[in-house]
Amino acid sequence: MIVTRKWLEEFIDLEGISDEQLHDTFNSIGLEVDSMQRFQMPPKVVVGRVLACEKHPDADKLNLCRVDVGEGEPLQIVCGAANVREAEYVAVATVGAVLPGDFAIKPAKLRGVESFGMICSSAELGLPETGAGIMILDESLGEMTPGKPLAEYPDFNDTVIELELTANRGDCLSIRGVARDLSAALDRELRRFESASVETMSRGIARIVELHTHGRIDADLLYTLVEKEELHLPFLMRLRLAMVDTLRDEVLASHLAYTVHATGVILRAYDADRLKDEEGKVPLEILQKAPGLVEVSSGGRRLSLVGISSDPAFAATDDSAEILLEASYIDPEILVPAVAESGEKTDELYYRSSRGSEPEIPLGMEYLESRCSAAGSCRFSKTPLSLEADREDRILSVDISKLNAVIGQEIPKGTIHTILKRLGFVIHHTGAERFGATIPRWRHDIRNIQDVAEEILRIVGINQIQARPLELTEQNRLTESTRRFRIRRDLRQRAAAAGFFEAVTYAFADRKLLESYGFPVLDESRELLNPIVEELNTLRSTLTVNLLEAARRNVSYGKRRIPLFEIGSVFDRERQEQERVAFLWSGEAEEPGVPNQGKPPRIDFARFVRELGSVIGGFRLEHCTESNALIHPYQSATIWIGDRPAGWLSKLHPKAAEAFGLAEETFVAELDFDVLIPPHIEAKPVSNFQGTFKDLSLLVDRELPYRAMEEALEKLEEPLLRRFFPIDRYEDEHLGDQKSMTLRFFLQSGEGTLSDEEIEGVMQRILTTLQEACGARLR
Amino acid sequence: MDQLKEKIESASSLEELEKIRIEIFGKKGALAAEFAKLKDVPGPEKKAFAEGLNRRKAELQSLFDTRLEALKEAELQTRLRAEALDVTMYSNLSEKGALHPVRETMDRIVEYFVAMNFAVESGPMVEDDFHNFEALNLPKHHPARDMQDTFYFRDGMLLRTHTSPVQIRTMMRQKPPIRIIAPGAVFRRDYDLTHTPMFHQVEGLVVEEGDGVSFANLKWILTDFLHHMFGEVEVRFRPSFFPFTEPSAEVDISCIFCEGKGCRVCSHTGWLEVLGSGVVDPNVFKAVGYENVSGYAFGLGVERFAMLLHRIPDLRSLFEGDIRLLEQFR
Repeated sequence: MIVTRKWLEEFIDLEGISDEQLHDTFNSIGLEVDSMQRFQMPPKVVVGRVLACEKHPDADKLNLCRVDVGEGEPLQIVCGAANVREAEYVAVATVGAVLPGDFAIKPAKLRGVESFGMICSSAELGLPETGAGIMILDESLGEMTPGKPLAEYPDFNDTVIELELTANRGDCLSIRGVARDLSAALDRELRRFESASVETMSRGIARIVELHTHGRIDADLLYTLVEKEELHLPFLMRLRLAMVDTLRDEVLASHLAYTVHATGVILRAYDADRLKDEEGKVPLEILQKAPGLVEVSSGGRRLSLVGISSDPAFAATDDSAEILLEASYIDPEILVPAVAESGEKTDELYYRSSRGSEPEIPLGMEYLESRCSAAGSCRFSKTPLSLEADREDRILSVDISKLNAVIGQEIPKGTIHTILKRLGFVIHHTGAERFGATIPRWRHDIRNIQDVAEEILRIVGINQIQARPLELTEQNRLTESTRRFRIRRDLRQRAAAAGFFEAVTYAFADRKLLESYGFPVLDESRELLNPIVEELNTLRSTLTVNLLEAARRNVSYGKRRIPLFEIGSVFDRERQEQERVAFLWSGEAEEPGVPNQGKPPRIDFARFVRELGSVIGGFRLEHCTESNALIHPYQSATIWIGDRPAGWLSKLHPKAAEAFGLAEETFVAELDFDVLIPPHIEAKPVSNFQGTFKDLSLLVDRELPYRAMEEALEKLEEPLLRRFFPIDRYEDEHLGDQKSMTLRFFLQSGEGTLSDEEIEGVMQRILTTLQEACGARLR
Repeated sequence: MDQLKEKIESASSLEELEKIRIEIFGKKGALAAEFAKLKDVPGPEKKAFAEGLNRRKAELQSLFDTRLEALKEAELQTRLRAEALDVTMYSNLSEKGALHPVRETMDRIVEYFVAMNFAVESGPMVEDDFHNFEALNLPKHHPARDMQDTFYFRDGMLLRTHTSPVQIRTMMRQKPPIRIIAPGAVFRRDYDLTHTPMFHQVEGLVVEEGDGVSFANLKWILTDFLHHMFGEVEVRFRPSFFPFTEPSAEVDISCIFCEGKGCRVCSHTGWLEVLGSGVVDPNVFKAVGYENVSGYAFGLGVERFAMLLHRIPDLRSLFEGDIRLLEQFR
């Protein structure tokens, strides 16, 4: 909503209030100021009167004007504007004036003719566009005196303020509405606008317009007939409409827009001649098709839906001689659901009616009549035809102590009453602790005591409220979510310590891309209805693809070592959300430097596993059960933590590496976050007796995974075998289909130092087990 | 004797000294030879001779020990010197990664509220109409529910447009008192220089039984919180409108870039808008079946906080995993 200070002054006295105070007042009452612009006419720009105007002898498009600028001889000015006419008042920048953009006016020669000044357009004076060509001034600004500086006409030095209104404040979508809010904030009366005397028609409207209606109607309607001989747009209105960015091409449309902007009343104008029947009458049928859908038609032709739209075929234009004016109001609480459910198309006035237009519709009609009368020759029907919806006043019982409890501070009852009255509330039967208040019709957003508290708070000013700490109920608030938050944060910190950079990527993905790599996608019936772009047209089912995209970007930024991780949600076919952690390491394993003589090693399986382990702790790798096209068939694994599968890790498949433009040495892992939540641990007693390490080299089938040996040994459940792990693997042609595996065993007892016989016994049992389960034999 | 002393003192290496030791103190050494003479010394002189011999032996021994210690120290010094490194070549070898500035900012925000006795809560990203809109007093056809802003699914579900549904889920799950903070990702259909389809919010909700919670309490905690995050800034509350709070206020801080004088970042207003807040609307309590309670709620955009705190110029770069940006936060 754009307002101007001078326009506001039509409705409220702003004497003694500076622009800065106005700005701060708006902000403090919740009408946020988006921008404020003050116009100031430069010196030496004066009113001029064009005495004569003829074509330039050597240029078709230039005019040679003699312009009266008060004192002295008229000036000779060459003017290029098409609309310059004899006898018009214009703005003249005289020699010595400096226009915006540091444009100094000097005597000049244009095509051989001398020119002593410039006749200005609005843009040349830094004003918004008031129409094509130069400004044609008139008495709407005040008396036109050639030579009088423009800066002395107050309406040129206006301040334009753009307010960003919240969705509930339809009542402030007009100059008068904003003034009404200011009247409460500044504690000043709202001015009743001065209605000029209006020339009336000799015939009554009822002799021409026949209003038919039946049944319930949710709208208020008011009709007036106008006989229009001549109508123009005074310069002041043109200037203000330009300032609030609402200037129309047509005069009548501009008049309507001006009144709508000033009063907030919804107005439409129909060409009465197009509606007349054979007898010269205008039949009007008002019919409510559904709650909130009020149709206005004439002779079976729909003219408009109240508050929603109108048919341009019947709209009055500047050529119309007889015009049917309509002012309307409909409660947005009824209108908005009706529009949503019916799917009716809406026009630009709907923005106002849906947020709550001005319900005092006679005011709009009077304002329009008064402005049109002053701007031409129009005659209005004496008494308008009107139709009012049934309604009841909304009265709220206000409990003062409750009101103060919401605010947290004692506001005196008198202050509360004054504020509410200024805002248009009617106060009744006041008691000590409680009173009744009729809610003004234009505040459809006010429903309960807290809404009233908000009105009091914003007018009193939040700055006046003393901040106070809350006395709260003691409670243990260490919830499961809080614990999870901490575990997540610890994990992230470990990942960063291990060298990974944390990425945050969109929870969206490209459905085709996911499918092409064999990841699950949302069931069609649960898919996104309105994706924003093709590449983000579904929810992701993996974090890894997003990390690969991020890695691709980093390659293009010239990065050679790309360690990334992300914690985030993924979604399965049924759209169930699951929290995952993914890791990616591509390219070099270290930064180049002294330790590696500038030739950093590439990341490999062992190193990636070790980095991963320093983030997530111990895990076990088994044969990979995950299947997607990112996985390398021979360097991939399922990650087990305890007895639960936690995710997968893999060297990136070379085809995928190529597709994403990444180094061949790229490793990825993706794990369920839930599995990483540390379990409760109970300590086992530590043995103080000496343990012993024993190595065993065995020949086994070359294809036998180490895991098979591990499983066999786990089944053995040998109490003295505390720990074992592989330390070497060896193959050569002499071994044929076999390989040599060296395992290291740690033996220890909790009861005493192991004897040679005991050690020998355990090692024998281990050997036997591996012989039987894995066909192993000593090397 | 003096010759032996000189020998010990002139030994220049441990090996040389060892040779000298054998020469002097060995079984066939000089001292042994001297002691052998003892048996030929006549009885009365024996004692004096032996004493003299022992004294000289002790002298030599002491001299030897001193020399040995000195040579050992010298050798250690040599060995240490051989290990010398130009340590200055090893600066900047840290290979730590970094946390994402948005997540790190979120941690800081949550930490404040946890210290203020708030519990962390979370909720699903895929929400239904009731939790995301209806229960938050955003009735059907409300302008904020515009199809343009919300991602919908074919089955009528939607991606949460704010973290506020966590308020509803928490209140429906437990009774007051409630004191929660809900951080998380939210989604809006907006994609340009200053909007991304996903971003992060932190939501707060406090509910107590009775009339205890007021706007003044909200003003206190948010002022304290903003001072915690941004230091000694001015905090300004402006009345505003949110369907789920009444009264509502937007909260601004004096611009941290120009200290309120007006600059490009604050659009020359001197203020930066950082929070939305208000007293919980009675319709929200009605929707979750609460009676006779009072509360406040607030919400903030984490990206905005992160960008202000770390002076990050470009919102979209936050979602690209750009190591050039991230490595600055090591």
